[in-house]
Amino acid sequence: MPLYVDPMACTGCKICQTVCSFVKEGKIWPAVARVEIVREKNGKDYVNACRNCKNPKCMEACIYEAIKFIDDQVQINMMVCTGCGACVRACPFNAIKIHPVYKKAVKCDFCGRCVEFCPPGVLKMR
Amino acid sequence: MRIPGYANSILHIDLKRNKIRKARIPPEVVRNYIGGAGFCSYYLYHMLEKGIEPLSPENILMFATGPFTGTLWPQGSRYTVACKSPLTDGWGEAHSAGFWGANLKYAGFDGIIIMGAAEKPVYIVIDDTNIEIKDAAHLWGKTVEETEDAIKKEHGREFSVASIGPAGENLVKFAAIMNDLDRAAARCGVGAVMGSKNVKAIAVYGTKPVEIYDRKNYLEAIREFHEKMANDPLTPGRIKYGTTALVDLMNEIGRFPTYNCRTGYYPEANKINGDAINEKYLIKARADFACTQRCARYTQVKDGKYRCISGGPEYETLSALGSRCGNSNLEAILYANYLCNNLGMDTISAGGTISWAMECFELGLIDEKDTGGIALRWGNHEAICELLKMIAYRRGFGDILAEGSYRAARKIGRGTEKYVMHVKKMEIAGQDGRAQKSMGLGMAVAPRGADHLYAFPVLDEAGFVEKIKEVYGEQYLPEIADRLSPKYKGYMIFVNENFSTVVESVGACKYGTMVPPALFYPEVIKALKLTTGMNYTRSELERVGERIVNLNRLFNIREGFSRKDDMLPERYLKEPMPDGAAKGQIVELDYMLNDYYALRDWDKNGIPRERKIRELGLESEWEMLHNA
Repeated sequence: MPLYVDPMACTGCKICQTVCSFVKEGKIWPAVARVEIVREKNGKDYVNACRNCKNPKCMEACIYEAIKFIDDQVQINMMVCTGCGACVRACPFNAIKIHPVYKKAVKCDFCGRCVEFCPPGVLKMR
Repeated sequence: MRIPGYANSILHIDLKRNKIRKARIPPEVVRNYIGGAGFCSYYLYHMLEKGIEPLSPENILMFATGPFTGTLWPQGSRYTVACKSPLTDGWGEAHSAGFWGANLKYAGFDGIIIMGAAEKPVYIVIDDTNIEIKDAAHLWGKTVEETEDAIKKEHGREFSVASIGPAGENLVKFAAIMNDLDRAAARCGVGAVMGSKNVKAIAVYGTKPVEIYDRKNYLEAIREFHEKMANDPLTPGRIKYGTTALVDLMNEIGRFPTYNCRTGYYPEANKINGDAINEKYLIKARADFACTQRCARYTQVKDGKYRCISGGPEYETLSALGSRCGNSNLEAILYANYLCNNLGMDTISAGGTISWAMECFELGLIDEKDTGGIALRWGNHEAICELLKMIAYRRGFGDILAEGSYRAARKIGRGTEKYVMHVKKMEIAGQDGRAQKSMGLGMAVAPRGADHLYAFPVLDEAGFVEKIKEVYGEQYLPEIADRLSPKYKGYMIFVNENFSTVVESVGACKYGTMVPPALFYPEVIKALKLTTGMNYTRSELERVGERIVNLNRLFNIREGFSRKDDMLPERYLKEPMPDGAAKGQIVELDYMLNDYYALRDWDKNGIPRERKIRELGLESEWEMLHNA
């Protein structure tokens, strides 16, 4: 289920983002993390990750049918994805990116590992 | 061979020849100096000539991260900036956190070495390995916030920016380099050196990975380190107050510099303490990259003439621009903090310099003719804020103060020199050595001048007896835990400096490692192995620390420093503390200094003995010193 954080409670440390990159890539690589923390000048820190939309624009945009609901979760099938980037452009929340090495669409798959490492314990899955 | 945990490259930028080159780091340098402060110590000792003018193109400005910077090590956000200091004319270094260092590593660089000076203002954009030196005419004159905004607008908000404000441009001797808006590499005037090179900013965005040596066991170790930090008894206070908690603690032990360090007790401390900030001004606690502790404050004054939003204030700022100037107007301190951040100045030296001028004014040594009509009475908060702007823009009396209190006093004369609270020309931080002898010794011997962080002795502050046993050994109790006893404090500083330089070299924060050591040698050794694959024993790592301390010492010896410079102001040596918990105390410096030199195997004059040099493998550096 999608990630959520109260922007006033998040400390903006980006540990979730960095843990995500390590879990998914085996490297410290925040640029390809599936979850991202955006720090604002007004003191708010937002989490940006796939919101598991009810009517996902990405799914609509994917002509290869690589994006499907699996157990009510939007998931990308890597075997089918061609890396065309249509979903990236379609996502209104900027939550999908093309992996710079594998050239496939990647996004949060709701594994929840980042949540385990949030120091103030404020990052949640709803 | 590529070493995991590192970007394995140093960026050399020669502004004179307009040349950019990437160089690998010799493996023995990695092994012997690890990174961060260690790299800076090595490179600058070798690259800088003796006796150069710090604000000339001959000076070199180096930025360096460590192997933990940008990784998941708790608080792995730190980087070091170093150069020959225009404030001390000796070894200069400053440290900062934020996101800039991590980004530098993701861009593929462990450090940047900037040589020469640009003819016109420039800024450097590092977009992964694509590096550009760009015209900064449109940025020159802008504040730190305006500069960051303009760069992000042009190049993208994902960039992390390190820049100087007007203070750096105007070569204020204690100008800072600010990154991520309010994180400061504050001390030693590193911002002035950047200004002298006509470099307004370095914007970095990196998207590359950092390899980890032992992928299988890394995350579990990180979880263990996180738990250690979470279970640390000081963590809740750090989250709630950050460093502002220290106002009450320091006042209680009589170590809170007040009225230009006349005393260590401030009766109005409760007006500027952590609770006062939390009650009305705290927006939230914020963390730097990978930080579990979130000691950084984010504060706002909502209305009135001191309206502002900024990061901080830290304890040091509350002391320097508060108690030290007899100023208990918290909104004014928050505004002064905002000004320093935005104009790019070290709050400690700024407050130290203003409080010196205030004492001289109160004593009648200077008057309104000197200050341009400003009544520099204790607590005149309007004057403090006005002076900060005058310093940054070098207007009127600010032009004299911009030289720092030591040089300002030399210029004015009239007996004002006696009231300069400095070591090696650098203003003393918020630590009165009379109330904690280890701190007195620590700042006397620190290579960059009055520096509380180089040794950062904190365990005797409030008598952490169990931790003291763990770090120093039971046999030194009870004296070592007694902050008023000079006994074993030479040993304490020796042990601390060795570890603390390692901490600054791996790219870790002193919170958690030094205060108190929840993450000590065993954890650093474990994380170094997991991250980089490098094996160190504890004694090898201690040796790295010792090597860096000795190399910093050699740097200063080359510049003519010796025991005479490991000196405290007369006030600390001869004026007994007038009130508070440390009433009647002075610093027994000579006793501690002898003790410390003996442990370091330095002679009576503070010069390393040749056998120590050989033991640390510094023979060629030793030879360079004698050929200089």
